[in-house]
Amino acid sequence: MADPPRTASGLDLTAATDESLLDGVLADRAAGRPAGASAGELLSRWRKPALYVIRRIQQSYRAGTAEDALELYQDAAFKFLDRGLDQFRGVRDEAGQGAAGAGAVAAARVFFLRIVKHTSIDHYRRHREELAPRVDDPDAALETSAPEIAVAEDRARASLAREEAADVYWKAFGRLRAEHPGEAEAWEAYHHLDLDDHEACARRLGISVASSYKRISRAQARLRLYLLELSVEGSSAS
Amino acid sequence: MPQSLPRPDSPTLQRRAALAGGEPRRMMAAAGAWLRESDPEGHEEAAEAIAGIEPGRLVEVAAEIDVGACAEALARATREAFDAALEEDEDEREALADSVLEALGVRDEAESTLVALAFALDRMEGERGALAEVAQTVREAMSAVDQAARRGAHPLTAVNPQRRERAESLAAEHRAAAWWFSYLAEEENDGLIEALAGREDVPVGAAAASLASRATLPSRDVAFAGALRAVEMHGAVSQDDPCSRWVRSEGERSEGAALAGALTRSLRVEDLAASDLDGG
Repeated sequence: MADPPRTASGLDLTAATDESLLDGVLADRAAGRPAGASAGELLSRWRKPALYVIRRIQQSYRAGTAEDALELYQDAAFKFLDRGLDQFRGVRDEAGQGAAGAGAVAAARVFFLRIVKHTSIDHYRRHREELAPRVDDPDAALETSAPEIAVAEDRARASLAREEAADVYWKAFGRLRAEHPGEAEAWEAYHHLDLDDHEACARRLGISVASSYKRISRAQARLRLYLLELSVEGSSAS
Repeated sequence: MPQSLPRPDSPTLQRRAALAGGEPRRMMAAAGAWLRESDPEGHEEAAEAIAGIEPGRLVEVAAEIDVGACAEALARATREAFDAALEEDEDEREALADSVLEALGVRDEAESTLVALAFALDRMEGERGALAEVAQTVREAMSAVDQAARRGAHPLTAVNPQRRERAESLAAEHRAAAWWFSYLAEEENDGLIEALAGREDVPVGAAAASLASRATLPSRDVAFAGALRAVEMHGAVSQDDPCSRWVRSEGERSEGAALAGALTRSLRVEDLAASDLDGG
């Protein structure tokens, strides 16, 4: 009889509890070791709930197939392993929580399912207009015949890069709000709330058109400066 | 050939005056500034002045270096340089530039003092423990200040011509250390802040253009997806939160955004029934 699959540290994957798997994953990450086997087993146990969440979103958008759902699950799993796990570990460390118990497993699963949910919402929101049925589309057929893992990984990486860009942007915007609230307010009105017109922006903020132009121009320079600083911090930290 | 006399307000005269009878702190700053210059004339005079100060007074000089004031001055210089870069009124811009250089001068003077102290330590015979210890502590604290300030020093490019002039007056071995004058000071970095602000009426150096192109803001679509995630991750956010505000406002314009917002609020994964999640 074949031996059951085990992790590098000898943990029997099939017999391991969720708690011991999560403990192993977090310990491996803390020590800088790859957490592949334990994390893979844990994610496969969360596959059903992940597919349930994806189906709910597909139903809301009236779009998507079972194959799409699997790809989105893989995208989310990639994100969880690549970045989410460290974020989750960071949140736990900040909260002073130690070894993984049932509560930690539930929290980790919720964390993963949030990634699943937003990977799916983002996907279907962006492609809403493009998601026509692809039954007779030869290009689509070609695409699905490519190695699925490679395609899913490429897509997940691109999606991760978008998420990182958005996270860095919101970090920079948070700093702008704290340090230069007037400029942040003008930027928000012009770019987020889509006034896209200095006259409308000036009216909303009760300032002159010249001030609106000046504030938005300065806000843009500051936000981009913050991005430069964050990239310097990132490169010196790595 | 007769040499032209220095102007009464020239740094050379001021330094001579300081060396001739100033108190130790000013003498050390003046001597250090001289030692850092590329022109070796006066190095000997500076060395003599340093040698004339009692070791006990040197420890006091080292302890009096105000690292906090340097941090504040560098922050002010960066702030005002940003304003100078985007100021359209020429007089105002010049006034801001002068103020930036004055603030950078605070850090530069501290550096001169540290160089003079290092020079004194090198030549000191006998017990140098107390001075070495204090000077080392100040140097380390200053390094931390420099590291933090340098990270956000891009706006100093607004006064690059003046910074280049100051950097060129320094001996090569002191130029890189004086990053407040030399970092990103090459002509190719000129116009960085204007480029980041999207101004097209100002000449921009090649390196500045390249740096600016690396600091690209994400598309609206990508930033909006980030707002949705933030609303989810931060739980019950206030109505005042810019992410919530954007999700609401965008939902009024776009059906896709409205649906995404509704799903973000209503489909709470932590509230899903166990039977839903585990039943597949």
